[in-house]
Amino acid sequence: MENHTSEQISALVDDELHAPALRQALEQLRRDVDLQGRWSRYHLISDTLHANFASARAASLHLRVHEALEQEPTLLAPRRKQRLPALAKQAAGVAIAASVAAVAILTVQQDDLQPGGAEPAPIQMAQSPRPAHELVQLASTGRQAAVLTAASADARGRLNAYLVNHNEYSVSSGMQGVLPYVRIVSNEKAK
Amino acid sequence: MKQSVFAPLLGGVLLAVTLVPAVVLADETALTARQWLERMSQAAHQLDYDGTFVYSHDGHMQTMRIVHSSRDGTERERLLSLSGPPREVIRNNDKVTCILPDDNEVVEESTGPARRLPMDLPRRLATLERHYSFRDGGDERVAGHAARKILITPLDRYRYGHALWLHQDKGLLLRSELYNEEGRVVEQLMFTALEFHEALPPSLLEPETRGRDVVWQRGGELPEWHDAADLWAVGELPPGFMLENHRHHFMAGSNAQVEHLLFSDGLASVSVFIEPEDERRDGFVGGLRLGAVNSFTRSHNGYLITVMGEVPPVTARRIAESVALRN
Repeated sequence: MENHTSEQISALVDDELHAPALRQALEQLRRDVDLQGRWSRYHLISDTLHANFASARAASLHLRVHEALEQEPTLLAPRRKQRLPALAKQAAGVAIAASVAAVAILTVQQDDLQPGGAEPAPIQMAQSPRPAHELVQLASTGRQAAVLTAASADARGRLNAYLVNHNEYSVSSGMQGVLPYVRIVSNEKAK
Repeated sequence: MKQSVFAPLLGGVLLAVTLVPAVVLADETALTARQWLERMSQAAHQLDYDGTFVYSHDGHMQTMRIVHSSRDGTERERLLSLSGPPREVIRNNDKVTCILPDDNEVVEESTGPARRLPMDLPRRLATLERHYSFRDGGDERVAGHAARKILITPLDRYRYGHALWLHQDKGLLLRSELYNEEGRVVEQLMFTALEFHEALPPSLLEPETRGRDVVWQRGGELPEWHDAADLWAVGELPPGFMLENHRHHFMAGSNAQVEHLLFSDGLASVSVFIEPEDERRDGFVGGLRLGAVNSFTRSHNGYLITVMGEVPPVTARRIAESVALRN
């Protein structure tokens, strides 16, 4: 369990997780303060390792990091009880749909940050210097850029769920025909 | 089940309105823009067709296929992504099945209110003319079909503009563009191939995305509830927006009950979500642009009010500010 969690978080930091593992890891991260601490440490580690250190020093750092990780206290977070089946069922549809829509928020264009700005510059996930999960810039409708960090996963999750619900329900207006479903199906994964 | 408390009342009023036959309202001469829209709405629900279209938004482009049939009052529809991850949405009247194999899951549930032809279409279209101007954009061609272009321009700053290309004979929407407040296209859709059928072969409506790892999961009926007293009052909305739907439900990932109000001016839909603020969760407040969608969140008496829709930021904000706790 412990090793598994470490691996999961490590994979998450390296942006290697896919749904549903990604969803599970994010959910775990959200609930667990200790894990959040580890998340930042792993990021520090990852950033440091990726920096262009002299190879020898990097190697020794790697060792020290490895030792430090070995000595990390075992995480004894109690597994959260399964939610009531009825509630789980209710949430299932939205949850899955939300995971589809997640990218809607991850792919906001940066040019909106500056009203009247020049060329659209979509955020390139692959080239972003940091893992997408850690720092996602959301375009603000005002002049200030709103930056949602990992701590704001809640806000992102909430907006995603809303977006799916909005799309599902605006279907009822009928005028738009199939467009709301198109919006749901079209949401791409970050990869 | 999904109907809001307002629905029966609203339905009654609308029924009374729609008893006036559309023909009475019709002009004898060439079709007006309003009549074109009426045809468009009917065509989308009543025709049998099979087509491929391109959908583009936020710099992304995707190809999808849509198959639609209507027989004896039963509408069946299949929407399938042809690029990117294979995904399918199959609709059988009100029952919607989403097949998302990248999640190894399938959800089947009755979701949302029925997507039928709105009973109050003539009234809606009449109202629309107060907030949008309609213009004939002339004849064009889309996917090899003769089309008529209709330009819809907002008369105030509270909504987005549209351009619609409709099938010359059948009225089906062949292409559409949505323009933001700066006149930039934020979303577009265009058929590249389209075939009409007298009676669509049922085999075309069978899902093809069903993978080996897919788990079929039947979503239960979503029990929705209403509290005895209506907590929320809706103040002054941007002109033309009316409450269409009001429901309560549970959000994924939280045990919070979320109130969902849907407003529409007949063309644009705006959702309002209200949930109790949770100190342990991050409550982002302010405006965000999510592609064609704008959202605005504000905190009010321990609740988070979030407005979201394909409308300019000013509309989202004004609606957010018009919804408040009663008393």
